[in-house]
Amino acid sequence: MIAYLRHIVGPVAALLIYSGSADAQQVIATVAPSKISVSSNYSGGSIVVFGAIAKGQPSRSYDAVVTVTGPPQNLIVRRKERVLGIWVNRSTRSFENVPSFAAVFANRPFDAITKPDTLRKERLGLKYNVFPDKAVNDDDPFEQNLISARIEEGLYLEQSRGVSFVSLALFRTEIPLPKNALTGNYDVDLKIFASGALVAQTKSHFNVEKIGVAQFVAKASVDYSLAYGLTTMAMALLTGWLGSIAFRRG
Amino acid sequence: MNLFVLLALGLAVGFVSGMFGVGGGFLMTPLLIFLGISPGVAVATVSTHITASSFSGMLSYWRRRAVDVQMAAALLVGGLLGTWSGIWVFTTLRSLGQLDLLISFSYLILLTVVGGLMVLESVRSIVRVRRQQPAFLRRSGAHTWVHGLPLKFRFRRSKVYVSLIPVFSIGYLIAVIGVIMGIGGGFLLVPMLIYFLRVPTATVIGTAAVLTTATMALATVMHALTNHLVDAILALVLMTGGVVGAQFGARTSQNLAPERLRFLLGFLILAVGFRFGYELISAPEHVYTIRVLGAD
Repeated sequence: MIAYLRHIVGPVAALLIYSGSADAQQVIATVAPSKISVSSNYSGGSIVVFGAIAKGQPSRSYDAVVTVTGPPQNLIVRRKERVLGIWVNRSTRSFENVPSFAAVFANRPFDAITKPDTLRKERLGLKYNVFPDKAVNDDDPFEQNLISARIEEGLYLEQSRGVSFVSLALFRTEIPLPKNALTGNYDVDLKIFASGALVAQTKSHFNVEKIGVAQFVAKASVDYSLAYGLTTMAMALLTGWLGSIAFRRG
Repeated sequence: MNLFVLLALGLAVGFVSGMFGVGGGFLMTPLLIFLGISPGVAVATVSTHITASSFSGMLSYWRRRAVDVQMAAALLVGGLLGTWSGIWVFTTLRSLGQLDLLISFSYLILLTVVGGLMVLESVRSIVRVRRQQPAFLRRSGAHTWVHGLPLKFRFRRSKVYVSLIPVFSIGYLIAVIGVIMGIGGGFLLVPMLIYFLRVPTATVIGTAAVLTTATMALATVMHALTNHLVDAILALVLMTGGVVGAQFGARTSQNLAPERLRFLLGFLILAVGFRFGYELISAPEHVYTIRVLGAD
């Protein structure tokens, strides 16, 4: 906590000096840690986002929305149906560029922060961050089940009271990252509202990388699949040979 | 997945396979699936496990000169082609989202038929032994329709003169089934070689082990190359347990009457088959499933 604050105080002080004009708010943020190394015994962790609003009017109250999105994926969602008494995958739907992780945290309910039009336009809320070009359709079972499955896995999160203001101009939020979070670059998007209007925004990011033997093996199986296959086969033959020597009769 | 659970599973399946003289793939793959490992990964990984266990067996038979090299080579011609076909079917059905169904369905049919026949046959021989009747023996010179086929070849080591067509076909069939289901297919191959080709018991198991080793080794490489489903760490844990367990199983089986052993094995196979049937008809936990493209 203290360590994180130390990262912020410098930039905040610098910003306060430069924000001379009366009504131009600015927000700056730090994300800690900026790199998460996940080993095979990683059971989930979290990242902390600190934000500071440099502002003209000292007594104004602000709302903050923090959106984190992970590397995009292409997905196929399949639905099982009963055919002749057997459960079979029947209908499928594919989705492109769906974030592997999405978390939208705010300091109070979204509809209290601003009006519905702005929520949609600024993509505030989980339902606006799953598909690149549209909001989640509440009546579509494929979309609904995709979201609910990922919420269950901890990959999609929405908390309307997840951001807390330390002071009028300083806020923090802690976003949990599950153990099955994908490796890659995660975008952090901060938006500051005052009386329903967007007054400042900034972007940041952090990286998730996997380390350890298990991760090395998993990566090799995709990147060097032929060498991986041949090595695995050789390992099997070696084990078989060792077994036949070790338990040789007589 | 807990390392010790998997090691114990390898030991247990290895014990059973050693006890009955089978590869154990038909037990290992289903158990991994029942433990929650995705059927594709289970099938691909168990092919690695079987490579190890059948190679171990093959080497012991080789030392005892109980391998018919000519027969093994002929079986392999069909077997390598069959492995390739099996991988193609596997990959195609996976992209259609029907791989799990194919695996479950294949297990249901194969295991209930084979298990059912084994139980019936063993009950008959148990009754026969009780009544002290002599065992029914097929006349060794009896010919089947297989012997009427052309392209005959003399296999010196096994002392059989038989058409190459059924040899290729058996190799092909076993490899296709093996690749799709993650089994070595020894429990199908050995009876087929005995029944259709009259391969003598002295060379049949060693020769079958050559085909199993080669097809499963190739299947490992091809599963890794096409679908990236082989889990090398899981395979290593399973094969370590399997190789050790098999030795203890082999010692235990010497104290049991063969027809009782066949009854137990048939019962076990039947039970696993029924479990697949139950999984197919019972309502799934998740009606909707997500597959990430290009990741697994």
